[in-house]
Formats: sequence, C-alpha cells, structure tokens
Amino acid sequence: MNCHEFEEKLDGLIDEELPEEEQRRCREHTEICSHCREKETQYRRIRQAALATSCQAPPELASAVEARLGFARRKRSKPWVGAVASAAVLALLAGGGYGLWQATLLADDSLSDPNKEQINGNWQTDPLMPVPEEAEPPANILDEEKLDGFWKEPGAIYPFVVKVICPPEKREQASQTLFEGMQTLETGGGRMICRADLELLYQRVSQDPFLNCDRAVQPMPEGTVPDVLVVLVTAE
Amino acid sequence: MRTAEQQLVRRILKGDEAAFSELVEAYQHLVYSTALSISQNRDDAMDISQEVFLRIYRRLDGFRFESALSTWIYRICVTAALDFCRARNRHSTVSLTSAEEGNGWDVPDEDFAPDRVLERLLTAEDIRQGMARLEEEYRVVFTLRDVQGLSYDQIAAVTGLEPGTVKSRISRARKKMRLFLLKQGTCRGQGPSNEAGKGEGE
Repeated sequence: MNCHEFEEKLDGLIDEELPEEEQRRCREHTEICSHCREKETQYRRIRQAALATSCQAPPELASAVEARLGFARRKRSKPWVGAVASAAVLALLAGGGYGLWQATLLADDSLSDPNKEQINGNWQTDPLMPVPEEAEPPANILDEEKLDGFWKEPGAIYPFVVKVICPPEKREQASQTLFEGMQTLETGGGRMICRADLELLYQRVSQDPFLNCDRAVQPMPEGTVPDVLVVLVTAE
Repeated sequence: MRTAEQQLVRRILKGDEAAFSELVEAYQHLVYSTALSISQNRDDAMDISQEVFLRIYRRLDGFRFESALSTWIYRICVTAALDFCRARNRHSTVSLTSAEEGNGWDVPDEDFAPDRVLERLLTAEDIRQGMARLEEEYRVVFTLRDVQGLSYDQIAAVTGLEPGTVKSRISRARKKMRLFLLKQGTCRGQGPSNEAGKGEGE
C-alpha cells in the first residue's frame, strides 16, 4: 500500500468499516510511513474532539415547547438526571443514535442487591459506545500507575461514563455531588474526558464523606469501540 | 424497541400531552445538539429546537414507521436548522480557498511553533470553530457523523443523499477540518504551516 491508497482508505479506517485485510494493510503501511501514521492520529483526535462537542439542551427547552403547544405545566425533573424512567422511553432511546450526558435509571432488578439501584451517566444508549448494563464494578480499577499506562498521550481525551450504585435514599445526594463535580469540568459536558478532568471529578466525589469513588476502565469487545473510562461511585 | 416507539406515538396521536412531553424529554438533547452544531449559535439552536418539536407535533400523524423515529426527527431537525440559517443568512462560510489567500483566519502565530503544537490539547472549542467555517453541506454531514455518531446509511436516510455522496462529503469535511486545525496550530502535525498551505482536498 502506498500513501495515496492509504489516504483513500483513511475514512473507512477511522470509521472502522474496512475489512480486516484492508485494516491489516493500513497498519503495515503506517508502521513504515510516519507521515500517514501522523495523519491517522490527527483524524482520530479530531473525531474524539468532535464527539465532545455534543451538548445538553438548556433546561428551559422542554417547558418552552410545552408552553408553545399550550400544554399544562408539568413538574420537571432535574435536568442532568434526565429522568428517563419509563421502560418505553428507555427502549425508544436505544434506537436513537442518542448520546448525551444524562443519567439513566436502571430497573432495580438489574442489580444483584434489590435494595440498591444503578445510575449510568452519559451515553449508555449511544450505538457507537454501548456501556454494559451490569452493575458489577469493572475489574481493572486504575491507580496512578495504571492511569499513566492507560493515558498514552497527556492531552488525549477518552470516552467516559459515570456509574453510581447506591441505595435509593442516597440517590439525591450522589446526584448533587456529581452534578457539582461535572459543572467544574472542561470536557465533562460531553462523552469524552481528559485526564485532568477525570482527576477533578474523582477528587470532588472522594471529598464527599458519604460516597466512595474509583476510577476504572471498562473493556469493550475487541474491534467495536474504544475502552471506556468509568467513574464508579458507590454509597452505603 | 419499535413497538415502544409506536406506543408512544399512538398515545401522542390520541392527545396524550404527557406522552409528547416524554418524547421531548427523550429527544431534546439530540435535537438541540444537532441544531447547535449546524447553526453554531446557542440562541438560534434554542429557536430551531422549539420549531423542530412543533413540526414533530404537527406532522406526527404522517410518520409511518418506515424509518426509526430518531431518523425522522433528525431529518426534521436538519431541515429546520438549514431553513433557519438560510432565512437569517447569519452564517457566512469561509472557504478554504479564501482562507489560503489570507481572508477570515485568525491564526495565533505562537501556536505554530512545532513544540507548542505537539503540546496543545485539541478541544471541543477548536472543533466548533472549524465547524463554523465549514460550508453548510459539509457541516451537516460532519455533525451527523462525527458529532452525533450516525452511520453512513442513517445519514443518507436523514439527508436524502446517495450513500456515495455522503461518504465523499464526510471525507471532504474531515479534510477541511484537519486543514483548518493545522492552520490554527491546534492539530498535531509534522509541518502544519507547510501542509496547511497545500490546500488539500480543494
């Protein structure tokens, strides 16, 4: 493969739509061509940063729409929680290419402990980045050393999700702490997070005496999506 | 999944206001984020989003479940956003050709130092600036693919373009975005000033 051929394959490579053989040929080319290797890196970084431009609607949008339609005013949930409680809407979202920072309440029976519930923050339903629904903590908790190993480029941003496992009575508090933590982040409004922001969020949650916080990596099936960083929040 | 959509739509068509509120709640971020990406203006995105949901409400009886509800909503959103932008003519796009001639670019010289370029974090704001300079046809496909994460086929369904055209526009949009970022010194590269001057893709 020469540089011209690589250029033609680059979009398919980034979109993970190339057949295995073509991917292998591209990898062989980038091993010997620093120019194309650098270009691929740039494309991937642009893709990551583009994902981070996703944003939430202002909290007043829904009520503005209802007002224009003449609907009676309805009590709204906290905007960041998203309050996607009905199974019908959950199922509807799953088909939607939908992926913004919001928390989704999973049914209590999805957990081994019926007295706890799990909130998956972020884009659980995004078809590009499915987050497993199991409530068990990811196996590989990140200490500082592992974090260094994971973060190959200091400036890189990675897909992330917040998982909260707590008794229902602690949900409000956990939500508030996380909300305040998310407000302070540079990249926290989207689906990606930089290392500094991951640390900020971790520290903010860790300061809450009622919450425990871990950082972890949730491995994704090979060849599907990037591994996902997890901010795992638990409360007793 | 589709059954849940159908149930929701049927409830709305029967006049269940709460059901429509559920739909708004579920799709408001998708709609607003798409509208903002295309309009590049928060106030406009708010106006466009409201208009989108009004159109959905008025036209829902014409939705035949021939596509996913989200695809139909994306289609309405993209159309409304383009209508809005064209009507107000707020967006003057700057082509790469004119940019190469030195028009419309604000390039911070200090970021052109290679070591600074390597250190610089590529942020969402950099991408937003690049998107604001993309021509409308490229901004739409870039939004749907690289921001919203739709597949090529979904983008074809939303825009009505042939899949081949979608593919080529996405490719061109990414080239333009990369070139812009190289110009700005925000995309890691081996020789940003030289390569940015080649006019790749033009």
